[in-house]
Amino acid sequence: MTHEAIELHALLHRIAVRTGIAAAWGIVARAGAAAGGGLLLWALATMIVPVPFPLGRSAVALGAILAATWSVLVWRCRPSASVAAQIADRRAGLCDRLSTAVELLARSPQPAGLARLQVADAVIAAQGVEPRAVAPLRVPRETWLAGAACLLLLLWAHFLVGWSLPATPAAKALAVVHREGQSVIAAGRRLEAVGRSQALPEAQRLAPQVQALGRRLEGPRVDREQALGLLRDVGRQLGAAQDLLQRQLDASLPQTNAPGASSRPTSAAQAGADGQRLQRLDAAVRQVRALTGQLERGGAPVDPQSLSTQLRALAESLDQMNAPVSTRERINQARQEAAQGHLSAASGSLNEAMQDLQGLERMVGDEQALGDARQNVQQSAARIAEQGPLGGANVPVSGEPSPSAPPPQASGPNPPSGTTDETGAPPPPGPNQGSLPGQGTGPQLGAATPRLQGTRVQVHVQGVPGEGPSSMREIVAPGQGGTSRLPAGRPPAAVAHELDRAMSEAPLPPTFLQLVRQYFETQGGTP
Amino acid sequence: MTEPAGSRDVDEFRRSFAAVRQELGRVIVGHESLLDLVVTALVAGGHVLLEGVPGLGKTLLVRTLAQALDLRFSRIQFTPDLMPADILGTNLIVQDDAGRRRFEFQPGPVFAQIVLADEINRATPKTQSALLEAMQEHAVSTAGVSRPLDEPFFVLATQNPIEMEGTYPLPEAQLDRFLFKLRVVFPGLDDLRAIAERTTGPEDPTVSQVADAAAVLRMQVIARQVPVASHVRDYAVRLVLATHAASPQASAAAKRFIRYGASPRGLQALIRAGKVRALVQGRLNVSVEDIQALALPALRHRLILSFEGEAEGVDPDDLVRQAIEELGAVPTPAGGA
Repeated sequence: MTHEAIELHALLHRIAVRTGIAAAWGIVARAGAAAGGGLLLWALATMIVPVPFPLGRSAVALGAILAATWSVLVWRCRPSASVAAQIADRRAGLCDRLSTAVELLARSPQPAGLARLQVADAVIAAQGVEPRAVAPLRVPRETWLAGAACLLLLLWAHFLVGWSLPATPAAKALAVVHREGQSVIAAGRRLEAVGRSQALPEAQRLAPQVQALGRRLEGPRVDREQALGLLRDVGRQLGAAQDLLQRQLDASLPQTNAPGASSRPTSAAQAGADGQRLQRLDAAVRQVRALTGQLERGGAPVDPQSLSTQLRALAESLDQMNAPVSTRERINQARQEAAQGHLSAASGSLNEAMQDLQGLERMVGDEQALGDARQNVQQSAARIAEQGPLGGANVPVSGEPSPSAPPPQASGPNPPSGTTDETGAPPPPGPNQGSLPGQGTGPQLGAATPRLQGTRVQVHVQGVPGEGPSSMREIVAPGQGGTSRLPAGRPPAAVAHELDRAMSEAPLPPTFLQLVRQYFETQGGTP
Repeated sequence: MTEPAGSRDVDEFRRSFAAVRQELGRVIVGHESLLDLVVTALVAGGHVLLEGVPGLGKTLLVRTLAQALDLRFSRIQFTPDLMPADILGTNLIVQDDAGRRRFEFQPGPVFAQIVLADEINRATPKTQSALLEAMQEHAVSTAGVSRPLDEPFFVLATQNPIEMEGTYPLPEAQLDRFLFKLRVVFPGLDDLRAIAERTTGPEDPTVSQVADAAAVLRMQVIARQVPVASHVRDYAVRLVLATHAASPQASAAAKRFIRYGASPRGLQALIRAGKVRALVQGRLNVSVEDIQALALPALRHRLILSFEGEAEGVDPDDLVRQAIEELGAVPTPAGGA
């Protein structure tokens, strides 16, 4: 290839690349404008129908697609040398000099006669050609359209997202979300109350999150998909905490499955098992407390034989419910001490056993409370999801009971007449619980306040902080003192539960956690 | 085999063309593009049909051209009673000194290098067609003998577009043999003043010889070597097809007003004349602009209008212009914005 040909092709290559970029940019700009317009319409449609609109993901996907398309188009739209020469001829007014030269060079690398003179003439003409002028990289007009669409989308995301036009399916879906927000707040309050009254650590920790979720759902700018996502997140957190408790309970208090039963019980079966376990623990705690009170009252003389018999029955009961070995050992120890006439020592052993059982009881209660809250969250999510992406059929706008509730059975002084409400639709099914008299509508009443079943442990601290030693005395029961320092032994289940939780939250490597666990288990004499 | 032309040949071509053009301009007032096209046709090896009213200097143009090139010039005044033999020549019985008689060919006025066929449409078609072979083959056949004409051979015919009575329109085959059909327009005010001043003075303007027949032939050879890019050739082809009503590329006006479009000779005329124009314009390649500039003179006489076109008095020039417009300036390359 001659020097002239190399020079000519270098120029045409630059023109071809710039032309390809410009063409690709134009196509991508048109596609971007169309896609931006589509997204804008989609966003506006969410104000009428509650269709999901993942703006962030759509924008990222669209950007990635456009970038990939641009790269491919730059390569595909790059014209050949002949076409690039024609473009340069036309835009630089070269009267087909370059295209003729390219063709002559393609026919013969060493042209002769007038062809050689023509190529030389074309090279001279090409020296005055500026690729930037011949193939300018102008911003296509459609780019401004795409930019305007993006700007409008940003404005929509900032000011209009979550809004809906009145009397539209979107408004109805939003009303359902708001109502479920109230329901979630109530569930959060219940969880908080249960956690506080029963000293349930996980319930107390997660209750604020559930309430915050409810308040977020009650807010003015939350759409259906967002609400479902938030509910999923909180449900996942509740489920994770519940699973952790479940694993700890299974380790401390293994259940005895019936032969042939499924290895993974259903949630209903699990709830039943938990209730049964809680009842047994409660009964065991009451029994231990009664025995301890009997020993510590010191009024009437205690018959060691009778006490031993009662303790044996208690030990058998604990055996049946697979109570922890340490608890059973302490019961046996109390029985032996009672048989030997050491009633005070027997009382101490029973106290320790009772603390173990109370810790287990709190864990079961914690797990049960989390399960209830999780169920409430899942029900709310299900009710929101029932509306479907297009708003469902008959959705109450505000303050109406959940459609999944039983039909109303109001029989107040002013019962609802007929089966139509203001909108002409029949009243939603649901129980009369929480409805206003004669209206069939109104806020739901909360769940019944759970009874306080545990023994309250009060901690009194004496002394002034920073001045001299302080002493602490635990009062296990009213008027009954206990030891402030426990002998080395296996920690109670509640303490182990707290420690496990604290360690799981600490940013420590698993091997280190294992070392810590082994240390305390060794100190506690765990086999 | 033709010897490849070099830069010196190209320079000589341009110098000769400019000199001839300058000599013509010294005598002929105005008609700049007409003079350019006449010389272009001569160098391209074609013939020209001039259409204009009498007295516009057509004869003067031909005579000046012949003088500038030192070519033999003859003028044939076409009349209804003109016979082919009056043009081509005839065999006469000649008696020599010994008393022997023999036939001897007496060449007609066509045996020149520049022939002015004045008012060609006044002769009968039979006489008009006598020029067919001479124009196409550059030869004359009489009595079974073909006699070549001297090169360069250039016919410049005229016809009066006003006086149509007693005329015989040129047949399509005859028209097709003209490279260009040029319209001689009436001069303007300034041109008329210049004509009055130049032709009524004490001395007539003199013409000097600036080239000869060999130079013209050499120019013709050089012009044929000018390269044409394929897309330019395609453009010329599409332009010719655009004048055909039955063609998919036909323009809307062509479909309505044209019965027969331009022939392949029209395509040849576009390319050959385009090569000359490219050299004259300082280029060594034919461009689309050359084709567009030459489309009117090269194609206007090759379009046969339909009855509707004739009835509505459609100008073929308008049809060619519309075909150019519908074809676009340049084919849009793929990938171009």
